[in-house]
Formats: sequence, C-alpha cells, structure tokens
Amino acid sequence: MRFEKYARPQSFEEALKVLKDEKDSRIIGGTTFLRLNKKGFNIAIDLSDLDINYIKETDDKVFIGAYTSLREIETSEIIKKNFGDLFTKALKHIIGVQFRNIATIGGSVYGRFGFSDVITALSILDCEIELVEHGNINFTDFVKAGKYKDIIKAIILKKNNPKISYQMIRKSDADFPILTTAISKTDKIKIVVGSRPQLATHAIKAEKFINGLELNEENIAKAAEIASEELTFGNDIRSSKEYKQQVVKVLIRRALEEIK
Amino acid sequence: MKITLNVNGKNYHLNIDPDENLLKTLRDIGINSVRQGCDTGVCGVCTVLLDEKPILSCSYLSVRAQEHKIITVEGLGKQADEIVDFIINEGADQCGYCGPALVLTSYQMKKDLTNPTIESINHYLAGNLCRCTGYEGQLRGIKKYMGVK
Repeated sequence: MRFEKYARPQSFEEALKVLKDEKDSRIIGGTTFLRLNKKGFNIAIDLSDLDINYIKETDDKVFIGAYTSLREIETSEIIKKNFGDLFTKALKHIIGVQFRNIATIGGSVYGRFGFSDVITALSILDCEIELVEHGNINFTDFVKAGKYKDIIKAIILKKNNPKISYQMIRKSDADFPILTTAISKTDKIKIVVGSRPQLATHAIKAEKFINGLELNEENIAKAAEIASEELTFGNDIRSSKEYKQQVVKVLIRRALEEIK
Repeated sequence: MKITLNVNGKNYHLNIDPDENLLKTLRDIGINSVRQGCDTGVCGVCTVLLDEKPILSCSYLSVRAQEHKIITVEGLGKQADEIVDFIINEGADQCGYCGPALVLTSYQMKKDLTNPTIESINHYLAGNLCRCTGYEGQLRGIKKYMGVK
C-alpha cells in the first residue's frame, strides 16, 4: 500500500475535515495491511495524537479506544474480569504476538472482514461503536450498514455478566479461520457465525428457537440444525461451503453446551 | 520527510518517504539483523522491539516509530549471546535467517511471561516462522532459557 502524504491531526474535528475534504484520504489503524494491498491513495491520516489507545471501565460499561492493540485487549485484566476468556480465545490465533501488538481494534472493525474473529466476538455482546460524526451506533447495525465515511473513537461494551463461548476451527495456529462461532447468554441467547466466509452474522431463526427452551441435547441439536440451514455459506481456499455447513453444527453444539 | 529514530539508544536523523516501513529504514541505516521475509506481515523475521513490545517492522511506518525506542538484536549485546548459547547448545541454529527475530522475541517473552509454560511459550512464539523448520531444537533451547522443563 502506497500513499503520498501523511497527516497527523491534533483533534477529531481536524481529522474529519481532512477525511471529508481531501480527495482519496484514509484513516490508518495498525497498518498491518501495509504490505498486503498494492492500491495507492493520497493522504494517510494518523490518529496517534488523539489518545484513543485505552481500556477503561465505569460501573456499567467498558470502553476500548479505537487504537488499542489486539494484544492489549487479549491480555487486559478489565476485559478478562468482565468477558471471561472470550477475547483471549478469539484473538490468540491471529497471526502472532508481533502482529497483534500493532493491529488495532478500530482497524479490525472498520475493515469488516468476513474472516474477522474480532467482529464475531463483538457481535454477541451488547456493544456500541462511537463515531465522531454519527455518534453511538449499535455494533451489529454498524457492521450491516457498510462503511461510514467517519472515524471510530471507541468500542463500548455493556457489562451484563454474559455467559460466553467462543468456538472456531482453523487448519493451523495463526491461519485465518475456516469458521467462527460465538454464543452469549444473558437474559437471552445470541448466536453469531463468522468466516462463512461472509461477514459474521446472527443466526436469527436459531436464536428464536432456542430462547426460552431448556438447553438439552435435543434442543441444542435442533438449534444447530436450524442455524446450518438458515445461514449462507460459500467456498473459500480453506474449505467448501458444504464443509462449513456441517462444521457449524458442531461448533454451535459445543458452544451451547458450554454456556448451559 | 525528516524524522529522528532512536535505535539501540542512538538517534538517527533521516529523510524518508511518508509510506516507508521501518524494516526498510533500519536496513538502509545498516541494521541488517532485521530481515525481510514474507513481506506480508506473517513470518516474523522482521521483528524488532518497540518500547519493549515485539512488532513487525515490515508493517510499521517509520514515521510512527520516531516517538519510540527501537531495539534490534544488536542492541541486546550480551543478553542476546545468552539466548544464542541456549539455541546453539541444542544444535538448533540452521541457516540463521530467523535467528535475530527469535532471539528478540524470546528476550521479551521472558519479561512478559511471569509463569511460563510450554503452551504459553509456543503461543508467544507462534509468529516466528523458521524456513528450515527447526522448531524442535529451537524450542528445546528456548525452554531451557525460560527455565521450563
């Protein structure tokens, strides 16, 4: 990836002005795609001076700044205390420690990659995304809506003590996932499947079926079957859509058994 | 654009392109222990320590690195020799291309892992690929360095 100019704004207003006014300008995150994309652009906007590298909490919420690295999230005591091992499990296979020390959560979210473990994990939490211009938006709505010409300031996670299970399958450690599944249980159960290879999405019919029912062997198997039927799967270089459609049932069963 | 990089305790005043990566800049100033491998952010042979964190220099902008302290294997001195001895004593050093990155990552790993286990060591080193596939020998040496049986 090549660019001509480098901007380092001192305020969000200034950053937004460059983003909107200057042709072919982009916000840069961890720059982990620097060597993967041959496309060029005009101005790289670096938000390093805007203090958006943090993990902090209030009584009812956890705030993660957009420039917080995946490694900081993976090892954060605040995150572990509130969301168990969800992020440890979801992030630990992403390339290596060196990569996760520079990859940011903002970049991971804004990219809206189908293979993203980060988006699968965030999608089962009560989560909002804070944008400079558009304010706070429900995370799932943000992911569905496509790219905003805006700047991510933070990810805001509601503390509601969820029971969580994260399941995925990979050919090897540090490879992209073949399939990811996350399930959370608070007052209701949420089921999300990613890397189908499309973007992570809720298995809405399976959620409707399983909520209110006992998590016994029969109901779990039925919910997994419904999810397998309702979601779309596709071929990618790692597996066929038929393989993903079978494996998703196993991952959902394991996850539902874990959150019983 | 003009930048100042602090590498191994020494300041370098440089003129770089805005999109230049740290790997290129370091090699241009003669620090050749930092290697170019996959060039896609996966293999880890370009690892350097940035404020005591191992990072991929091929995927990091030089302009961003100027507020930070960069350490390469040259900057570790005798601390690097200690790690290298553990690796050599296991007959694990083959072509040597991944060696500097492995030494840097291992050095930082010892600081980061308070109760190291075989599993946590393997996990920490997952981003260090060896083209000779000499992992078993390397791990024997690193486990001894980490004090793990």
